[in-house]
Amino acid sequence: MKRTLMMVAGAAVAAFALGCEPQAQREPVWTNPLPPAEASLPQDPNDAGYVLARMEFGRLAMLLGAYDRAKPRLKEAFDQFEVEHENVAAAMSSERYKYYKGETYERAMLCTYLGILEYLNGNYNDARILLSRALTADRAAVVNEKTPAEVGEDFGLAYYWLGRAYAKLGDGDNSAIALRKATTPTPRKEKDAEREQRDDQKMAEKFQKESAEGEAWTYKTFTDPKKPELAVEGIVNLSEAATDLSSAPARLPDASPESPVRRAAETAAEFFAPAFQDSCNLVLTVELGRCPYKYLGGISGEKTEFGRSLVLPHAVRVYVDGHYAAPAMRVLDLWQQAVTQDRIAEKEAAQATKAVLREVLSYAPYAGSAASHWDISGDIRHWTMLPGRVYVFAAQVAPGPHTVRLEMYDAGGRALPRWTTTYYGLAAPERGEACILLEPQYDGDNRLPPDEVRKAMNAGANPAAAYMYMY
Amino acid sequence: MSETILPAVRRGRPQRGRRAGALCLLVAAWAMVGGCAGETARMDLDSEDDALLGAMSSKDFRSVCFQMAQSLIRLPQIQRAANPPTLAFTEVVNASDELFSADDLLYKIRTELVKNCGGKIVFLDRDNIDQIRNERRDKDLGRVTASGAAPVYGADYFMSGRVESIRRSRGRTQTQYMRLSVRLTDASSSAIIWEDDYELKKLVRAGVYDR
Repeated sequence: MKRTLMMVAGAAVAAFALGCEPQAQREPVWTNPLPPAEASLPQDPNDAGYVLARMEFGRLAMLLGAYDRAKPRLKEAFDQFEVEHENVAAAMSSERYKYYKGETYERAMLCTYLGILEYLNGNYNDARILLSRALTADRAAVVNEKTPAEVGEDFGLAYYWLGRAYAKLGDGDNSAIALRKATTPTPRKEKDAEREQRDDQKMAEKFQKESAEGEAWTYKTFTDPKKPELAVEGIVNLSEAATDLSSAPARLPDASPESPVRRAAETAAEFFAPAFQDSCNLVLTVELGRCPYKYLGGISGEKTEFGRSLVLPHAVRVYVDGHYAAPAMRVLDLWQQAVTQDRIAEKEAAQATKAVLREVLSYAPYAGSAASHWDISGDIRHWTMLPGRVYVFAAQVAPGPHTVRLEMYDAGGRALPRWTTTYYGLAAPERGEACILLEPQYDGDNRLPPDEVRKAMNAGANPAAAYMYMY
Repeated sequence: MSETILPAVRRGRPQRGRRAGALCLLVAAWAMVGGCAGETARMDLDSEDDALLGAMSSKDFRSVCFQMAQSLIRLPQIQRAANPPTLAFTEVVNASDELFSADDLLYKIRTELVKNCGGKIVFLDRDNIDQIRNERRDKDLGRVTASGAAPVYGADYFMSGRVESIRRSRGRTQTQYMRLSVRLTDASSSAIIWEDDYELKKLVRAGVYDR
């Protein structure tokens, strides 16, 4: 006993002594998340999460630029779309036990990504097939007779790339039709559209007010001559730098002497013209924000509802080597896709019946306690890594590497300098086109080394506070 | 009384328990081994792939190829030809929205024709034309032995095809229409001397919990 006590005391002293030793601070090291993510994918195609896991992995791989790793996994998910799976467990209890194949817009998005990846590989016919399948998936969103047909014809991103694929295959007529359809707006009820616009504007105003205070404080704090230890080189006062869309500059201060932009389109009519698309050698797909999320609704959580993730940027202006080229065109809003998707009446009825039965049983003797354990909840699984909105940009620029800068504006047309993202060395070819997928992030151009971040935090800055507006 | 019964019970219980335990272990082992094992079964080539609802099943694929081969063999230009005509296979254009290798259709038709035409057609292998040319060059240069010079045959006819589809969906219901056509073109006059097609349409109704 005495010996044990002595050992414990010795260990405690050693721990204290070692703890007092100055230790080198470890910097965070980036590790590739793909190998562990891929290793954890379910292998059984009958696993209820087989498709969703592959959707998430595919998107992660695409965000990291690992298209070759994304494609086979997305294809595995695609192959399951037409395979019948038993959903008895979901019919009897919670919907989350069903074999998840995705909402119509998620399936359409998966087909679109596969189509784009085939296009990038030069397999234009396979791209055409997959993009057509994206449109078929989108059409399944229409269930009710009264739903406007446009709800199933508004997947602009797939139409845009389908138009390009048809052009590559020499089918000019279908290319023109597909490009024209890329501009089809999602039909919305007027009051819903107005309410969402008001929400967006309110959010933008709130952000603008709070961020102006924050930016002014930041500039004052980190340029204070009394605290030279806090000085940050190259700091900009963003509270004064903001402009609005109407006064956006045509040329940035660090612009190249001559504009490399030879041809760009200011309006949708010009942009989606086949001849213009054919002339472009730089094609950018810009994905912004987060997709809608799901939550449980109904009397016992038996329904699945969609929630809107606010995406602050509403307009994107593209600069090439410091010269304004054109706006990026919005071709997809996944919230609009989710909210206009018709519900499957039979499923809704089955879920409602379960909820009523559960409620009735809860009052019955003996069966009541069993009913309370009966899980009839809806299914809130969704493809979490999808973007909120997608824009496309195309232009004819001088061949060679370019610096492309994306400037963003909120619903009120005010500049969002924290969303400015610059990409260096995007190479436009002499012949053909460079197609690049971009995912700009909040603070995209404001990457500070860890030491600077630590210094800012110590001075009282709270960069995490702004993350609620990230999207 | 109890003393005489208890030992019997004590003796009996462990025996029953051991037997039940062994049975449980056996069942568990069987379930584990059996449950982990995959399953492979030989299927009839013409059976419907119920689980796979793509527009074209292997049955459709085989049917279309048999039908095309039979139709082609009955063609008068082939049946009455003084010398067996030469036939080259070009390509099948996949204009459908099904991801599959459309040229596989021609390969299957070719196999059926080769097996069943009884020497009435000479088939040209244009897939290996580069190797054939290289071989001829090596023979001409004396690099490899040659048993006799024979010209590379020109084609009297080209066989080509096209696959089209229309897919419509509304809610849980989807229809898939597919048309596969194959044609024979006279290589000198460009006249289409034969064409046949095969159509199929399927209705797919997804389950209530499909989405």
